[in-house]
Amino acid sequence: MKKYPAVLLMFGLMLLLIFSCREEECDQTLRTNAVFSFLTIQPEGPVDTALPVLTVYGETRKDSLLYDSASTIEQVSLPLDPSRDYSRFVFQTDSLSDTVELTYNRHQKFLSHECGFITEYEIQQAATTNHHFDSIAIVKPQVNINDNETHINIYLSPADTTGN
Amino acid sequence: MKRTLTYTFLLLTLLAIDVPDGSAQEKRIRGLRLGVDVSGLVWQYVEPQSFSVAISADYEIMPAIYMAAEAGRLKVDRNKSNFNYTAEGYYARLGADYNFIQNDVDPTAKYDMLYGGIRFSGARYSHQAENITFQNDYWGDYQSGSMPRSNMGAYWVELVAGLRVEALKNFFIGWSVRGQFMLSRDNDKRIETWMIPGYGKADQNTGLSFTYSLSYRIPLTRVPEQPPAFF
Repeated sequence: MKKYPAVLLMFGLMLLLIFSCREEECDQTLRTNAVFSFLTIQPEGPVDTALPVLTVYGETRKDSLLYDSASTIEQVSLPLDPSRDYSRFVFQTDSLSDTVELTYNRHQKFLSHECGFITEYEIQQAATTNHHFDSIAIVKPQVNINDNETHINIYLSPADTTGN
Repeated sequence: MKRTLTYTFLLLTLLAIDVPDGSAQEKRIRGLRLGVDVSGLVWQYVEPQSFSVAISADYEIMPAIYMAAEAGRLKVDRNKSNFNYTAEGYYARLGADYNFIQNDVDPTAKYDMLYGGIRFSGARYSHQAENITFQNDYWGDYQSGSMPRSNMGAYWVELVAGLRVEALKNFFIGWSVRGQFMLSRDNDKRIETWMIPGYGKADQNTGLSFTYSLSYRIPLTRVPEQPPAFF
């Protein structure tokens, strides 16, 4: 009869070990944003530029601002629309506004069982209107999770720039 | 129905067999031992999204050496806010155990086992993801289709250590702890496997698992006692 305590003890140990490996929550931020940098075209080459005041929103989301009259902005980080092959953003600087369009391929990617799936993007084309902005260029087409480097450069004409 | 009755009767008959103790010192009961692994019930409580059942069988082929086989089934159904994951599969293990404690010290504990063993294990399973939602705070969540079902397999080795005691005549309870070493497995590039049947969480190539089994030995034959083959 002396043998049962050993069995029960091990059963308890088993429970303990099972309880010690509980599932975790997703502890990552799942941001796949495109990063835009502003530059001014100078005779010696493009120079990083801060826009004195900037408002940005998605073209169809005028009620929801991504940047609301933000000051001295050198970079913006904007979420791309995972449901379409393009995103359009309106940039308002002072009284002028420009619309920027990015066209991309979407790649659905499994991240983990805790966090689920994310969309990553490969930018194909970038275009802008030319009210305040001069031109646009793709620096890094791949938009991956939690990227901080610049994907898109937006160039301004020297005459329009008040900053720098 | 008739078949069920027949089987029930057969089982009751087997249970009722009481081997006479006339020459118990020299004779040893041999028989196929059938068991269920109830650790799945504990898992069920801890991890309600997975359901597993397992059965086992072993037989003492020579003194202290047991051939052992196990089989089981796993079902997974996880409904998460951003995707539904389902999986199912089967596994089988084949191997042998060696009993380290000798039986003549305590005649009442003659069939108790403190054992070590090895299992070669294989699993076939499939999984899929549905209702995949891409969460986006600004543009709104985007729901897009599913990952279709894919079939996979895995092979691994388990080193087993365990204890099994005869709690009532021919009835055994026991536990085992197993170190698992993955030999080869299929990977789905689109979505990671969450759990491999018989192996557990699929994110590591070594693992630790437990069984807690209740088993019954069908006392079919009696053989003369012999010293163990090795050690």
